[in-house]
Amino acid sequence: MATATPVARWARAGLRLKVAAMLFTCALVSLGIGTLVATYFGERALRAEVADKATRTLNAEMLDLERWLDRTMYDLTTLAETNVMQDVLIADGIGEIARSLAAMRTRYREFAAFVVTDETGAVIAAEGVDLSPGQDLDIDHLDQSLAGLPVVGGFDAHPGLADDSFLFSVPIRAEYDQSTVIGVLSGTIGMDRLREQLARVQIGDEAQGAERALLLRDGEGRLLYRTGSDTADEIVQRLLAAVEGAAPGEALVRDQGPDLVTSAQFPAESPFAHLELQMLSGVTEEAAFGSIAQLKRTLTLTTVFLGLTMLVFGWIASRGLTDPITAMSAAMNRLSTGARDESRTPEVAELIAPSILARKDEIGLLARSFDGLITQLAQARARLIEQSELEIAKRNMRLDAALNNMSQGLCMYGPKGELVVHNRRFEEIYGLPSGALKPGMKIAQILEVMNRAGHVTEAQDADFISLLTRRDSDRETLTHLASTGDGRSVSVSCVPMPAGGWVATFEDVTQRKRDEARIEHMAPHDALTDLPNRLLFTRRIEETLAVAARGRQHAVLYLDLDHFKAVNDLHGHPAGDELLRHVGARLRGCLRPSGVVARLGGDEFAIIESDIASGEEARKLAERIIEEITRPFEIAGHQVAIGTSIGIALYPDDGGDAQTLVKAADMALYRAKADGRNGFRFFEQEMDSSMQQRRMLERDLRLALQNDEFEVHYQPIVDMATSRVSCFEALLRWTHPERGAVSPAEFIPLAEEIGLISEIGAWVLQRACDAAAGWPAHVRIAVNLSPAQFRSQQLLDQVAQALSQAGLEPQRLELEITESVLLRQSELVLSILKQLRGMGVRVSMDDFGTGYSSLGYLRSFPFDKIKIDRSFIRDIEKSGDALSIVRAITGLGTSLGMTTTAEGVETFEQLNQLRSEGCNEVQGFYYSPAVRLDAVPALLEGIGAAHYGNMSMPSSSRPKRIPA
Amino acid sequence: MKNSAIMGKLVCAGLALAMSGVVAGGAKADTAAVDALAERAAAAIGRLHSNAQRALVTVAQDEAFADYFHTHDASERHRHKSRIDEVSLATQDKFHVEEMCLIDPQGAEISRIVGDEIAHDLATDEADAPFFAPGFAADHRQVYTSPIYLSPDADKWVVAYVTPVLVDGDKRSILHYEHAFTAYGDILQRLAANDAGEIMIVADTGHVIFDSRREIPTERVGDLEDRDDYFDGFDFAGLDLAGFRQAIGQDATRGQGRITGQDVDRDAAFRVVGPWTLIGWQDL
Repeated sequence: MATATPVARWARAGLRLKVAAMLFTCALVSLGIGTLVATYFGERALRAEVADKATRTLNAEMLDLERWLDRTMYDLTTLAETNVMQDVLIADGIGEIARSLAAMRTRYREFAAFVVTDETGAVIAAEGVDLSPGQDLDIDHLDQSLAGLPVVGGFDAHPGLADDSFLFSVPIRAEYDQSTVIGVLSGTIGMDRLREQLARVQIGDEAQGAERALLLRDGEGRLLYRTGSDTADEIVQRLLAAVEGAAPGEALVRDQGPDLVTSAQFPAESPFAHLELQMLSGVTEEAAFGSIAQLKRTLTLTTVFLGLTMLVFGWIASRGLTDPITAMSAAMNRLSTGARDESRTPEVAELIAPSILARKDEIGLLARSFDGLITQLAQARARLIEQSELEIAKRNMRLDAALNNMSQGLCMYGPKGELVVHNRRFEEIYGLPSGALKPGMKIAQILEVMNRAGHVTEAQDADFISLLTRRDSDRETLTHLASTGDGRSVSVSCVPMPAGGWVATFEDVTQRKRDEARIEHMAPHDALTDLPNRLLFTRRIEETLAVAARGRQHAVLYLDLDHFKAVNDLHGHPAGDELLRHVGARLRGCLRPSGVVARLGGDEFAIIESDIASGEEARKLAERIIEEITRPFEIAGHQVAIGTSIGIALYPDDGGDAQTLVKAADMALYRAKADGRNGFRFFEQEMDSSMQQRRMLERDLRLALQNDEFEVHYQPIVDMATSRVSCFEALLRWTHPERGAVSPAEFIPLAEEIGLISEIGAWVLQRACDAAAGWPAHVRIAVNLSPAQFRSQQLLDQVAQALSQAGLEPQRLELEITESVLLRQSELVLSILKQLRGMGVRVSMDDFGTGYSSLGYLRSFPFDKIKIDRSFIRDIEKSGDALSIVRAITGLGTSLGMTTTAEGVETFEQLNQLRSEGCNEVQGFYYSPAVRLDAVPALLEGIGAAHYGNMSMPSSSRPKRIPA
Repeated sequence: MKNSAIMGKLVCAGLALAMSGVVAGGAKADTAAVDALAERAAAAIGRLHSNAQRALVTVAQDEAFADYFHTHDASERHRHKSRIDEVSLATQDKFHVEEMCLIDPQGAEISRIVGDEIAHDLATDEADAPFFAPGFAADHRQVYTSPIYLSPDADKWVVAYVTPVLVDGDKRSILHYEHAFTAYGDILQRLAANDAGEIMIVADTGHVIFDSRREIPTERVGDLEDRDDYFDGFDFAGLDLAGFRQAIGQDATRGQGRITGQDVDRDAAFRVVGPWTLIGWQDL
């Protein structure tokens, strides 16, 4: 059996033993150290204190002795300063000094004798000593006193004068001059009084014993005083032996032998230092330091007692500390044992005694903290359980909510293919009764349920399920499109789970599939008419051409409805849309089943009729189409009549591919429309070259403005009343560097078509205004406006800017519009016209009489001027109708307060006729064609003069109308 | 003859003054020693005057004087007179007074002590004495000090001290005593012996009443009291007293300086004490 080492035994020792042992050890060590330190330093301090005290005592005695001597000197000096001493001057002539000395000796008993001498040392008066007046006094320090110094002589230095005494001498100063010494007052002090005083000196603590002594000796080693007690003889002898050989005033070594010896003397600066008095004290070791040994014994006993007390106290205190800790340790063990029983948490009262809990100290605090900890643990455990349950319930609720609010059906399968969970949406998709599916059901069982609900498992479904169940190791997502028993499509997506099994989602994609099919259909079809669109039409052509047999012909027809915009304007877009659908239906009815009709956009349609025998068949088709389309449509209760223009291209003569054929049909359509509406044209090769020319002209027109190839010419308008120019009409001219002068009739429509007319019109307006600004104030400028300029919505700004930049008054600007302007967007045009009128600009109706409802337009807006179309003027001389119309228009203008201007006046007869009809203004070659700006001044000067009267110009050179 | 001698002295003094050079504030060390000697002499004489005056005033306050004048009873007055005599004797013993007497306003002596004796032959004509009028003129506790004169009672050259005795605010008498002038001379003689210089006392009359170099005979010469018969006139290197004091005087009461003339060079200093001019001097 192995013996435990002390360390091991100590480690196994109880806390109580450890605490007690440590307390005892600490107390013993600390007390021991404290005792040793206190003893050591206490002894040192005490020794130093005793020595210092002896020194201080001796120094104090020396100081007292010095004070005594000083006081004696002071007394003597005071006496020397009494008034009577001045009688030294008269040698105490009336005996006053002698009487005063007698009185002084009575009063100052410490003085044994007084002597007053004059400045020669001759005695003036004496008391207490046998000296006669006139006798010379022979003392050592008389000269010093006569020199003004108070002096005390050495002990017993003048035995002839006085034994066993000190002799003090002070100067007597002349009253009239304090620096003059007229005599000396001397006094003797016997040692008896000093010895009485020294006998009262205490050396050390008298209670410690009588072994102490005090000595006073002078510089010559004479012993002036010694402690008279017989018991001090030994120490006096030791003191005398100690000072034997020591120089007077030499400091003696302390702690000399068995005695504490102390010495003191006057400091060097003392006036009595020359006396070399030295005071010695001696105290035996036992008397001086006996208290230290007593202190050591007391401290040792105290240390032992305290150590034992601490041992007992530590044992008792450790019990008080360790018992509760032991109890709590046992409680912790019980608690840890009880913690394994999850059903309950032990009560605190079962673990810790109430008495421990009630304690007020740290143990009680620890026990209560332990109590609180147990309580908090129990509460935390309860809260944790409660929170866990709540969290689980919440998660279940969320999961249910998520599952049952999914737009998709969901089934989760375990690793073995068993159903784990499913949602209601899955049951809804397949129309399964609630509760038909149970967790744990295998796929086969589920399929049985579904079959009973009318969903037959098709072969592809079976393949998918087989694939799904076989590929456990394959973690890829699988999708499948299944069909339900009622024909709906269900998209199935199976996502494998990391732990095995999979999640299958089911989405009813029936509607989506339908939408996709419709979208797929709509992509190549026109949404309005459901006819193929341009894309599909082109593909059909290509398909037709691809399968066409050699020698077969196909016809491609391009159609454009005539007056379709009027239908939109008159009846609205819904009516227009309805008309397009009807048109599509009629066109389809015109074709064979193999024929394809497509809507290319707007009112444009296209047709491919395959396998035609000849162009004639295409012609008949076109005629049949025109006939059908011309037949009125019943749209929203209205009879709508339209026409159509058709361009025809034939395969293979007009093109070998779809693109060429379509292009050719388009050009033929353009030509058909140019030739007059409601007709058809076959494609001809020259159409292609004409189109090429048109494209070149378009390119040049776009460059003309930036190349500054345009120019504005001005044609005068003459007032019939004054025969003077009242206005100029601005007319645009284009001189191409290669083509030469291009007719406005050629480029103006093109500019309108390609959208350049707004820009060109603004340019003309600005140039015209700039020009007019330099003319006389009564001469106006007329600028034509194109319908396209009204659509640009920049017209108002352009007019305002032109007037502003030119600085032209608005009243001098006339804007001419045709009826066609009012024909479209009449409300917008009228609004713009009113705003122009509001600016002060004049507005003219141009080409009046050639439109549809001229009178209605005159009502809609109060024009300032009506310009009678040239067609009426041309025939005014030969046709009675023309003259009637002109007359009616002039009469209408007069009635409405509008100026009437006749255009195209070329002859004098026309002029006269118009004048007679009351026309206000005329314009035409009769006066002048349009001229350059630099020729305007000449016209202003010349028109109205006689030489212009017969001037005529050919009508063919009349400039075309230009819009401004 | 005497007048001729005086005239001769004056002529010599004038010549000496005319021929001598006076240098005030000469060699500093010697002059200071002489000045100190003069100062000490003045202090000693002043001390004697002070002691005498203090003693006289102290005695004059004795109740015996008031008691004497308060009673009109002859026996009482006699008793009080005896008391006054005892006080006077004690004073004389204490202060070495040559003569001490009490004189009423009519000049009649009430008490007189001469030496150690009480005089019974009281005089009645003291009103003519030179100290009588100044004595009564002095204020209470004030003492009139007379020039030296030849005391007819003491038969010595004396200095008289007189103070009025007031009874109920009235000056009913004067108390007068005389110091022998030799007492002053002895003091000055000792001072001069202890120092290198010489001392002399010159009265306001210009007589040298003390000179430390020689003994001045003061024995009565017949009945004459004329000072010229006893004392020489002051002649200091040809200077009379006024000339001397003017020559070295710093003010009216003191002065020091060096005086050269008549083949002598002297450092001299003077102090004025009452009617006396004390001069300390030393030949260079």
